[in-house]
Amino acid sequence: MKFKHLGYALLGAGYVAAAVFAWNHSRGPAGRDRVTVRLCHWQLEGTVREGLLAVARRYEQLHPEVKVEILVVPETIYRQWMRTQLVGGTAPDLIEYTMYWGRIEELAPRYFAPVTREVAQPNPYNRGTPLAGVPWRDTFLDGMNGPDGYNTLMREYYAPTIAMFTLRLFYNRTLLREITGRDEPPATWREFLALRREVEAFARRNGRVLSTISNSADNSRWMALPVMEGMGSHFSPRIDHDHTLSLSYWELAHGLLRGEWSFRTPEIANGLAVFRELGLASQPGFVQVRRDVALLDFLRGHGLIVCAGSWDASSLKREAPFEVGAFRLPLPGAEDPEFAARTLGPLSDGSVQTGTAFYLNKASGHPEAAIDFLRFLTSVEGDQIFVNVSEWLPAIKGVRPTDFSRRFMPFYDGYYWSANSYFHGTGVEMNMFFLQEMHRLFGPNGSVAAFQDEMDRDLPAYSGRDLRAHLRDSRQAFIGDDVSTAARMESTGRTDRLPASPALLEARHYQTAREVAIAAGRPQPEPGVEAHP
Amino acid sequence: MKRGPLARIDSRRGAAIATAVFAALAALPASATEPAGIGAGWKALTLLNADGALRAFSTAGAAANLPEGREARFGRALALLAKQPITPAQVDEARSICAELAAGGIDDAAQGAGYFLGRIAQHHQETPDLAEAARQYRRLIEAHPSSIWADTARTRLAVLELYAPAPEPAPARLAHVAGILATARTPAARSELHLLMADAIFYFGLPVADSLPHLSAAEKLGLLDGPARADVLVQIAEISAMTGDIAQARKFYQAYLAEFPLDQRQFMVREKLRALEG
Repeated sequence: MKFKHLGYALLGAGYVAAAVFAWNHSRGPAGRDRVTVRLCHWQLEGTVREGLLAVARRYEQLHPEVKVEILVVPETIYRQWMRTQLVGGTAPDLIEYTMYWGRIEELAPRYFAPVTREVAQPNPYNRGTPLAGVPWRDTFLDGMNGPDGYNTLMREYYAPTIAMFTLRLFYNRTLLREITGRDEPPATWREFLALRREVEAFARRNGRVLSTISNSADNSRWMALPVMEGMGSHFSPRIDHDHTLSLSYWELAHGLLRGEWSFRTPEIANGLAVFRELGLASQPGFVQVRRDVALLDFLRGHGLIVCAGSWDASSLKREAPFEVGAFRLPLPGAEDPEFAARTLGPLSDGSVQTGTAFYLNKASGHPEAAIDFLRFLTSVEGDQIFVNVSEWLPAIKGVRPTDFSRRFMPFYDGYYWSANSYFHGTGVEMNMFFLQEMHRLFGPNGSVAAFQDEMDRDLPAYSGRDLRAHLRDSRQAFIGDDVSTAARMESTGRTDRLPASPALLEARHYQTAREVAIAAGRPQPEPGVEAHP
Repeated sequence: MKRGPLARIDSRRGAAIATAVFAALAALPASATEPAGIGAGWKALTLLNADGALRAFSTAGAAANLPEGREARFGRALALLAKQPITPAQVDEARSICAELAAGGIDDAAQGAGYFLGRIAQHHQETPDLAEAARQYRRLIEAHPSSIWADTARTRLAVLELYAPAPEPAPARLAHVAGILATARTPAARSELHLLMADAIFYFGLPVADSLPHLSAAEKLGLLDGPARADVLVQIAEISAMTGDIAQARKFYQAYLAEFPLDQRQFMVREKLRALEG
């Protein structure tokens, strides 16, 4: 009997202890009056986590009343996790996201709050610097004009960014010296092909498991970008119908539907041929593995080169037991005996575009505190702290890269037509299809022709799905924009902007619907458009 | 101990007084009891917080005959168009409110409601009815030609004139839009219409030189935001070069280089400029 009572007592005590713990935990260690700003991201590279933590700790010194809690979620589950948190109303105040993952037209109006008004004001944390008094948005190297900074569909500024990235080929300098006796990486495409032969001969001679490139599905996707963009740049002016010296999503997508380009277009086919050579220089089966495997392969000395972004530079610096160098992918140029006639010249790293964007959760309990932390994170002081620790390139004017990261600064003196490469074409589905079928280029019976045959056969189905999704999403965006822009006009009384999405975007929507209808062989008056598919 | 006057009020009398006070407050117009109701509703809707907006507008809309009541009804219609998940019944209710407001006055709510009758037909209802949308836009433009809503409707009507199914050839469609442009009142609408026309010229493969006056007009109006302005400067320069106006091409290439030093086209534009000067 006594034991029975003791059991109940213990159970009760346990319950009370758990309740007290849960209450304390939900309150946070900060205490009753301290606000907790929560931020989530997926950057597990090198010292990036430490960089963000260093900024948070400095902010807490300046604002003892605020605690900044940082959640790191692995990239593989990040999107699902974020969706669940957003739907459940438990998402952090600041959420890293990138529009390259798609669905931003649907996510932005529903879950993320624009910061248009805030970024028009100076960032108070830049007081005493040359950026004092400068509108916050103009303190970013890209003027917040990147796809995450400014959403052209919503006509709103959304997500301040903290870094800038470039793509480079990192190489094992020690191994290069051992194989070739040279220190310097190849400077031309032909030199690269010669290096590949040297590596293969060295591996055979020494019985070593060694490939020229440590590759993976992710790394090859990154490599495909400059290859297809660079090799296609000679052709790109032919589909630049609006004469902007750049290719829009619509020009690429409409051009594909109209048959203006395909993977048989000579310049694009040359891109595939170059891409195939890079695949053949990689370890067998690379399309089945992810980027961490490629990195590990490189670090173990099984690959001479790995293609990675400047985001991986600090990981490589920390982990590599050998000297690491970096160079830009040498694409065939005007000197190339095979491709010279269909190449334009040097390829640039594109426009200055910053990334690692933090969106403000519309359901944040303390939006002012969250925005204030964002202001500090993207101030000269905040971004400098982040850059110093993470070794990433800065996003803010006046912030200096470290001696190590300086070598990854972008190269601008070259051609660059579009951030939407030919293999992205119509969107996510086409991109997936391209990646899924890459093995037809590299496999035992792989060839450019085999890949082109597969594209001819099934690409229309994938691009069709992309375009239907695009039309659905853009229509949803117009619906949301109708209401929010009208409300903004009624709320502010400002009539200098029309209370609607830009008419040009609606025009593009109907142009796309028209192209889809024509491609599907449906009768279409000239010129006309069908109702929404 | 001296007792204050309140202490002498017994609980039954107190309850009666409280009831009377609440009744009097409830009888006041909504705008008097909830001065921030409509403003709060619009603010909530700018963030697409439809539930918050509906609550705010329903408080403010208690006095349906006052101007505030009409505005609150308009707000309610818009909130219904944003409340997730959007159901056909909500869209129907929004359409009824807009129809009633558009027919019942000439105020901002009537004009906005007229515009939204077009938008509902074009995008919000399950199956778009482009002909009905165009009809509603025309009706609004005719009834309230100077309103901002009419100017917005002009830009939407222009899109339909250019791309809705009809047997007319592209030049005739552009001529219709030129007619709409001639009646547009605000710089914002004029800027959008010029851009629409230039883009349609490119899209339909009409002579590119025809786009130049529209691009120049849009540029002169000075309302283009960063990326759009960069595009237009490059477009004017490119088309000027194509049509032989080298001085203008040079001027606009240089303007682009000066205004957008970090843009991806800097190298290409410098090359173009060098070719012109060579």
